[in-house]
Formats: sequence, C-alpha cells, structure tokens
Amino acid sequence: MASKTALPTLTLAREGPFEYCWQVMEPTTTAQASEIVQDTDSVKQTVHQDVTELLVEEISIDGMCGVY
Amino acid sequence: MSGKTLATQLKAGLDAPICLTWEITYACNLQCVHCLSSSGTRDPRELSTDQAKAVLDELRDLQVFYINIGGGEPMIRKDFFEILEHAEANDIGVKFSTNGTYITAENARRLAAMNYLDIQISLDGVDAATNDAVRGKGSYATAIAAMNYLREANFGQFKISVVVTRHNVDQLDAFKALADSYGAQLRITRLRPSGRGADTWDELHPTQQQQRQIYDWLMKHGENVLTGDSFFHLNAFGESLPGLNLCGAGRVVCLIDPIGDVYACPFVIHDQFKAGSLLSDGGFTKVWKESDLFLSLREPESEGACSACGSYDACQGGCMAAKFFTGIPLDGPDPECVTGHGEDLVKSATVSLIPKPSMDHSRPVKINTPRLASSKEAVQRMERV
Amino acid sequence: MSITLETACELNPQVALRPESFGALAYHYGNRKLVFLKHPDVVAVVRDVADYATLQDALGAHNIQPSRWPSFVEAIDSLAASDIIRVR
Repeated sequence: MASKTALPTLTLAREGPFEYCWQVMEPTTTAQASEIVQDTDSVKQTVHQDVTELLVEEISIDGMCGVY
Repeated sequence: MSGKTLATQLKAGLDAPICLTWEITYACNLQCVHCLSSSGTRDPRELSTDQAKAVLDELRDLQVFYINIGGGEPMIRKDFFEILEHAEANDIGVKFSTNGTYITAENARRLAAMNYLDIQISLDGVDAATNDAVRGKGSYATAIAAMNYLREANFGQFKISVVVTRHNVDQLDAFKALADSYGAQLRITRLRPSGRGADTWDELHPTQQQQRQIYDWLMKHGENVLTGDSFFHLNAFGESLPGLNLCGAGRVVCLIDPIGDVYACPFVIHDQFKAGSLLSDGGFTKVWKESDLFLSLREPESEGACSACGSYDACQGGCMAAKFFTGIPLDGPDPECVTGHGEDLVKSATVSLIPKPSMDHSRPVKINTPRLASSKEAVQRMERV
Repeated sequence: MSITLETACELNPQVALRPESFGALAYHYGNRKLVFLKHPDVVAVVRDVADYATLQDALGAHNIQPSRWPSFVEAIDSLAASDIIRVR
C-alpha cells in the first residue's frame, strides 16, 4: 500500500514505553540519524537516512470509530 | 513538537470534532432487529428545520468539515433536502445513511446534482433471505432498487454499509463483488449490543471463530474496504488494521441525536454517556469543549483488568458500548475479546442489571424470523412495547 | 513527478486548514482526504508556499533549518500525492 510518494498512514497502534524514533523530534536538535536508537521490537518502520521528522499523517475520513 | 503519536494526541481530544454523527429523526419505516438507536416513531421534541440549520451553522463555525447524517431513516423528514442544501451551502460535507426507501428515480437525480455528498446504503445480506431476516421483508429489494436509481442517475460512487453478523460473515466476498458491480465502495462495520441490538446480540454477534475470519478477510481483501475503524478490538490477533485504531467517542467524534442531545457516540444512547444538550446556553460548542463526560473521556485511560494482558496496546480494551450494554465493567475486557477474556464475564453478568437504552422509539412489530421471535429478549421487548 | 526544493508549489484552493494545538488539520473537499500537519512549521510553509518561487525559498523565508529540509520535501511530496499541494 505504501509507495514512495504515498502518505504514510497510521498503521501502528502500539504506544509502549518507547517513542518511535522517527516521531520524536525537536527541531533544533543536532541529532544525526546514527544517534537515534531504534525500537528493536518494531519491524515495520521505514527509516530514511536524512529524513527525521514525520510532519504529515493522513487518516481516512472513515477511519475514526464512533460514527455511522 | 511533543513527539507524541497522532493517536495519543487525538485521544486527548480536539477543540472540535473531526467528524460526527447526526441522527436527524427517530422515525423510520423499517424496524431492523439490531437498530442501534431503537428507532421507529418520531419524537415530538425533534429539532425543527430552523434548529437544524442553526446546528449546521455552528458546525460550520467550528470547522467541522464532514458529518454523517442518519436516524432512524433521515429521508423521512420533509425538510431532508433543505437540510442537505444548507450543509452544502456552508461547505459541510455530508454522508447520509439510508435504507433506500425514499431514493426514487427523481430523488436520485436530485442527489446526483449535489456537491460534497456521500450516500451509504444499508444492507446486511447479499440475498433477500439473509438481509430481510434482520431488516424486514422487502428491504433487500428496496436497497437494490435505490442502488439502481443512483447508478441510472450517474450519482457516482456510493457506499454499501454492512453490519457484520453471524449470518453474513460468509458473504464478505459476495458483498465485495456486489459493491464492485456497482462501482460502489464496501463498508463493513461491527455490530454492537446497542439499542435493539442488545435483544438480538446473543444470536447475531459473530462467534470467536468468525471474528478471526473477519480479521483475516480484512487483512487479505480489505484494502479498499471501509470499516469505520470499528474492528480495532481484533488487532490483538496480530498486525493492526488500518485506521486510527482508537475509540473516538467524545474525543474526535460524537453523536447529536434528533432532539439535540449530545452523546459520546451513536452506540451509547444512554444517560451515562450523555454529554448535554445543544439547546442549552453555549450550544454544541460548549458541550463539546466543557462537558464533564467529554473531559473525562479525554483523560488518559487505565488498563484496569486488562493490565495483565499483553494485547492491550493493540486492542485498547475494545469498545465502550459493547462492554456497557453487556454488563461488563468499562475497564474490563471487550465482550468479544479475542483472547476470550470477555466471554465469561458476559455469561456471568446479571441480566437485570444490564443497562437498557435511555429511550425506545420502537414501534410495535411482528418479528417474522421464528428463531429471533422466540428468544427471551425478543419476548421481553414485545411485552414492553 | 516528485517534489523537490526547486518546485513551485501552491496549496490547493479546495483545501481547508483548521488550526490545532499541535499544527493543523487539512481537509480536501474534492477527494475527502484528511491530513494532520503535525508541526506549526509545516503549517506555516503550506499556508503561503504559493508566494514563493520555489519550495526552498519558502523554507528559507520561514527560517527552517536546512537539516530539516529533507523532512519538509518528503512532507510536501506526500501532500502533493493527495492533491493537497499542487505544482504551479
């Protein structure tokens, strides 16, 4: 479903003790990709060497529980 | 900024809903056995046309971009098109759910001419026998006729919405084929024991094995199938299904009912989940932003009895409505918990203590399915009516 | 065609932006796409990217540090795939 130009959709519901590395970003940090510790439980992430912030996230208008 | 996942941020609630359900009438020409809103007769306190337009104006001001209109049968209202046109004029996208009775050839053309409009036809079986057992004699034919009129009027893509039951689980492929034949989008949603659904829950809700079947089908064939994010309790089976996978009630969605009461969602029409009335001072905005109920739903939830189970992160403890109306504590497992933790609780719940819906607009009805007519709950309902 | 720093972009006029505490909600009336812009900086860029000759100019005008530019290009590219951002 995910292609290079498609929006990453939220498929991970897990919120364990770890924040996923590609979502924990303070814009002024100088952290490089190599300093970011991967959550070893996760197998689904795509990590780009030079992309460190997930700035947009699409959800379906039908993707919220509690409506018809 | 804060590094939180989107789901975490949405659970804390937003200043306005993303989307909401608005049941515009309790009147309905059908008497589906599982009706979540126990609809049938019009409530004399039903909002007037002017009041309905004022609701839309307020939603426009809140920048609610899209609403789901239902009922009862929304097209029964004489001002139905007036309401739709007011929404369109205010840039509010509308999806309405209908049994199709009032989609005539002429109405289909009128609907096809509108902007920002989605239509969802309710259907619970791929054949009349399966469908009509739940929705009433002739309802299958009515729904198909409506779909044909929409196609003839070049409406474009509409949705077919199916409540998954024990008796139609094996028809998922056939539903997909039916939707494909109309160029329509299939939507399958979870049955909750809400409204009249409580009376038929024992007979209709999928078995544990069928739940696995639903999950597997969605993972394999569900790419273009909508679910209203209603199956996140099945995530405990493995990889999470697409969607936000969280209960949106009171956080990003809610229900406005035909008399202007605001509930957490359409599946909990009960005083315990009533946030307030939009007819009070401050209108809908104040209820959404300040009601005690919604503020408490936006607090972080505790795992409660599920804390020992490794699946909680995936399933979130399931659906509030499903627990409430089967007598399970809200911090307990879902009645359909895939690990089976809920089943025993359902069996041991004291029937007399199980909450009943706060209102019942059902009409007296003959249940024409012998099996359902003989269930204990159905007999009790007939006596109440 | 992918978005690059040299692309001239604009916010699709069919899109509404609703501010949120963490950024904004973007809704495309034509295709019903719903996207969360998860940081105020991406919201600021998206709002007036049409005023700049290239995406890079817009990022510079909003004081976005170059180390973050790849993230922004990917974000704008995603938005373009949903028709929320268009190429001018």
